[in-house]
Amino acid sequence: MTFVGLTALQAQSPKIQFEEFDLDNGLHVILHEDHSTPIVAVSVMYHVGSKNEDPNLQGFAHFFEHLMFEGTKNIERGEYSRYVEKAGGTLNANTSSDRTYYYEILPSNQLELGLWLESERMLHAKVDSVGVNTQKKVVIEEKKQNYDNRPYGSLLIEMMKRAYEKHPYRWTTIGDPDHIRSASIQDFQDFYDEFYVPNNAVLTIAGDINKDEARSLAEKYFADIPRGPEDLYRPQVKEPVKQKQVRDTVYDNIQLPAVIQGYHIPALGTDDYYAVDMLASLLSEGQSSRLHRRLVDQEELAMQVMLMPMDMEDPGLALTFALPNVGVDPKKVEKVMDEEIQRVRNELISDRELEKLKNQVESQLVQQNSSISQRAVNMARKYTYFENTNLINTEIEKYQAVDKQDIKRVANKYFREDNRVVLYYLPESQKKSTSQLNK
Amino acid sequence: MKLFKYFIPVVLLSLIASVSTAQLDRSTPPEAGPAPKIQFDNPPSFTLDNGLEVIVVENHELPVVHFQLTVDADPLREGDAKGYVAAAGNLLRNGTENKTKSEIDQEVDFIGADLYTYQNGIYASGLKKHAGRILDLMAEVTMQPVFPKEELDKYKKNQISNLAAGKTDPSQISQRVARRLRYGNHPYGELQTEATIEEITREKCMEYHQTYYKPNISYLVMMGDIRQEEAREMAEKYYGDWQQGEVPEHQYDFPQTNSGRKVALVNKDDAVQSVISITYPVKLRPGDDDAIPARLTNNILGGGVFSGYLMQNLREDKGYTYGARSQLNSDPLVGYFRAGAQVGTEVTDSAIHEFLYEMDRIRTEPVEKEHLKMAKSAMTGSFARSLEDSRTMARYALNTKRYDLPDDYYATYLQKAEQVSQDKVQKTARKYVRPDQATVLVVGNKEKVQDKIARFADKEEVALYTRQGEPVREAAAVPEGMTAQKVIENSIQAMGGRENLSRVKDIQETASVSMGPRTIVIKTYREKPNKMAIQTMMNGSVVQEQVFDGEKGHVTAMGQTQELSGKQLETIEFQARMHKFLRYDELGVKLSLEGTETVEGKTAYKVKVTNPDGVVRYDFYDVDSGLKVKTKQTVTSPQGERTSTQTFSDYREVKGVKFPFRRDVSGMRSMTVKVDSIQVNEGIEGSVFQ
Repeated sequence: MTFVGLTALQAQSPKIQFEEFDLDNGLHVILHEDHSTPIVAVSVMYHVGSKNEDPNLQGFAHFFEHLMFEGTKNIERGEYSRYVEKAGGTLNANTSSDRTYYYEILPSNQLELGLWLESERMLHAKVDSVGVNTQKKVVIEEKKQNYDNRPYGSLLIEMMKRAYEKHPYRWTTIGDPDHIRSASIQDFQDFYDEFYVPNNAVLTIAGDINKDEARSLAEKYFADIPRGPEDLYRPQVKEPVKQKQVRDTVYDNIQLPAVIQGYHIPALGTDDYYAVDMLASLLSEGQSSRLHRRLVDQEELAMQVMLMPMDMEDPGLALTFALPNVGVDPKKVEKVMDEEIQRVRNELISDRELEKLKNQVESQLVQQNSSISQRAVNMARKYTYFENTNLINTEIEKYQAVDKQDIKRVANKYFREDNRVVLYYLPESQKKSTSQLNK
Repeated sequence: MKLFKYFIPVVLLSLIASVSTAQLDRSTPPEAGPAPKIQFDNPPSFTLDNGLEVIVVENHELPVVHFQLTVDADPLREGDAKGYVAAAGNLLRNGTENKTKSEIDQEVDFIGADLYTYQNGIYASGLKKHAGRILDLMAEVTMQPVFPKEELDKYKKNQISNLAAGKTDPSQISQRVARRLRYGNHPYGELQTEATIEEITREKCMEYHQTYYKPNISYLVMMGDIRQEEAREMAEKYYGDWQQGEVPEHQYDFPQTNSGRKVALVNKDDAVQSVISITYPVKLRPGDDDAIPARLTNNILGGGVFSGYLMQNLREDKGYTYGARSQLNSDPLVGYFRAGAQVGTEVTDSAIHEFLYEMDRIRTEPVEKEHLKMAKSAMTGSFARSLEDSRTMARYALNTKRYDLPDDYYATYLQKAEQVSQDKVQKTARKYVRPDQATVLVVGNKEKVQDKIARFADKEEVALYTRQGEPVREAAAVPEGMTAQKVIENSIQAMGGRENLSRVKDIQETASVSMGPRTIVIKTYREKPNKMAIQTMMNGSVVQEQVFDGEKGHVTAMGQTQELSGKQLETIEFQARMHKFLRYDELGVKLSLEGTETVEGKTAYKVKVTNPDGVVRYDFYDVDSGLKVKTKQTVTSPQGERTSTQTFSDYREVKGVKFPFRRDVSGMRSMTVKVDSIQVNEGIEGSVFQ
């Protein structure tokens, strides 16, 4: 770590200011005041994702993301988003393996509307057969559209089920349509009662607000929501260390083959995770990155290549994805990918490359907080995973601490053949010719 | 006592319940507070000695800067080389007097910055501490681009592939033809085609750059964590040396408006949907008094998530389409209106009827109060959200300067919107929503829609257009006594005559198809009577091969071989026979003359060809040249009917026989096959067919 780099940085990055507190029912509240635009982001992050699901009820967390728009005791079916639209706002939600996130972005005079909507959702969302049945159809269609019929849409599903044997990361958020289809209303109600509770949530109010007013409004709408169970299900599963490379082929409705590698890496927030993230930038961030330059520009073997660590609460994967050019043998592409990883394992990167990586990371970290809504989700995540909201300001130090030896070391420690899954995606047409050949 | 014991908790409970209700009534949504004031201070600006106008939009939230350079040149008639102005812009950063593209990439990445160049503009961003280096690079690509030939060639290749990819996309066809119809002779109506891309040269790019990239017609917006004084120093330092110069100005007449409603149709045989586009040019400049009411009016007609008239009617009520929308856009030269949707072929006319009905309704009926209110809050909300991005602020600042808007134009934007009344909406609609002088453009299946849509034109006529937006000449009638057999005979003559054709013993053809940056080479070998081999090659190696040696055949792909049998073998056997048209009778192929049709603007005979196995296709023979110009086939698959077509052009003679040197394939997959060479009777190694 260079001392000069750090001081320059501290001089430049203004801290993101926030205030946080817990309500008596355990709801954590983060307030961030910023008057540059007259808008407010109201969001709730529930610390529940697909990894908290019963293995027999895969897809529940994501299903709830849909169900939670169906209405509440006081909000008629279909009206939830209409309130927001009428107010000139926008809303949405998303689910990962680790958490579920809901947000509204509203003109700042509608702050109270946002709080009413989110508190209704937390207090008494409608979990009834009409809503469940409607959303069952929608979610099953969504799976068809986004996973089954989209080229490479099943990538994560295929990768995770081979990469994990024990840990619930072995299934992904979309889950299993059969589990969803056959689940009972009671199953849904139980899930809601267990996880959609204030002591499992972070409320973030960011934007053109008055902190004191926002605090009392948060209390007004959320304080009377009863605390939920303390012992909600958090899997304590440790995935056994891989001993052997897994290789497989997936035939899909695609035109172009793809090569995907998944290396087991440490969890988000660990020192090694940051080194792995820098290694990923070295290989695939920008047109001058090692893999892009070699595969796309110089040897013209691939249209696209990227290496991306998954930011997961428990140890996840770093995924490489390459799309070979038309007619290029995927093996040739994989060989170059392996060579470039081997190079990082054998040789220290240059000083200039390290400086480039630090510059890139710094630029990304700053720019990923450029809007109110980005700041809101980033703060909520830092609290949900680490109970350390201020990580949004200090994370840069973790990256700055990474040196050349670290990058070489993590390359050797994690980017090993026996620690990975390799998948070839091939067009379905090639499957037929193979099977006929085998006959 | 027992009773008492139970009684108290119940009372207590109800008390608690009523207390909390008094505290918070959850049953109705809370009232909104007073509407926030949107602060919009006009950013400071100054002019350098060379005439460059610099606007500074300060935002010190994050240590980030953005720079945007806009060269405000009048549009040009680019004519035969349409696309060179865009090429010049896109290639600015692909090499300068001192740096190669790869060196520029490395410099940009090294400081974690972004740098994009495009037609008459450059955008760059990064951390404040790198502001100097970013501006240095930006100024270098502004002033010293060299447009390296290999970069231009790569760019042209990509443009041609993009064009090819969009050639069969009905939405893109509709957009291009709509431009032609709306703007006519105006430069906005010029279209880039493969031919015009070929005409783009390094010299043209250089010349355009030298003439028009001048500080005295340009604006530099400096945004983010930068103070006015710093900005002035930096602008002076990096852009102070930019030489000013006289820049030609160009003025154009406003395009002609229709005298009544017209209907235009572009035929697409393989279409299962029609793309409807109702459009015309509009005199509406940014900052006009009507601009804000026009925007609101359009939101009511064809905006909103589901709330617009068009969406409510065509999607929610009738279910004709996934989405029906409209745009009413201002422009300093020529604005436009467009309402459109993709609808099922069979409801094309009903959908047009509903479009026209809604366009008429907004002119004749006052909008409901609630609807207007919702449109206003949607506009307020999205305006407020958009201001978060300093690029939006920069755009507003630039517009204010460029279009001479009043200084408080954006600051008072929402107040002006708030004042728009129901009556004003109707008045605005009467002025700008003109179903009476629109062009109704349909891209779809001519056979199925032409007759049904004629009624929407004042003269009940449908004007046919090519995919390039040129009028289609009406196909002439079939002359008396013409038969399918004669058409084939004429084509045999045109190709060089029966004698020359029967002398052909073998053919070796090398053709290429561009796919993005790569080229696929296809080698086809044929030998009498029925040997055939097709090899697909990449970088000199065979990636796929289809072979038939007269008796058996196989397909090899990705190193795996599959022997052909059954139906597949029969098909390739028939396909492999050389010059089948010389003896259709003998082969049991049935022919019938179905009339004439226009192919690429010229009249052609349409011949129905039925193979012995019952498979039907249509071949089109040019009336003048006699040569086959197109073939069309429809197959029924589990996904429904699929039509594919292939056109033949660029006929050239080899050993006394004419061959098409270009084939354009369209349908499920579209591509252009260009023949590089054809050799006849040179002898083929027997191993080729093994």
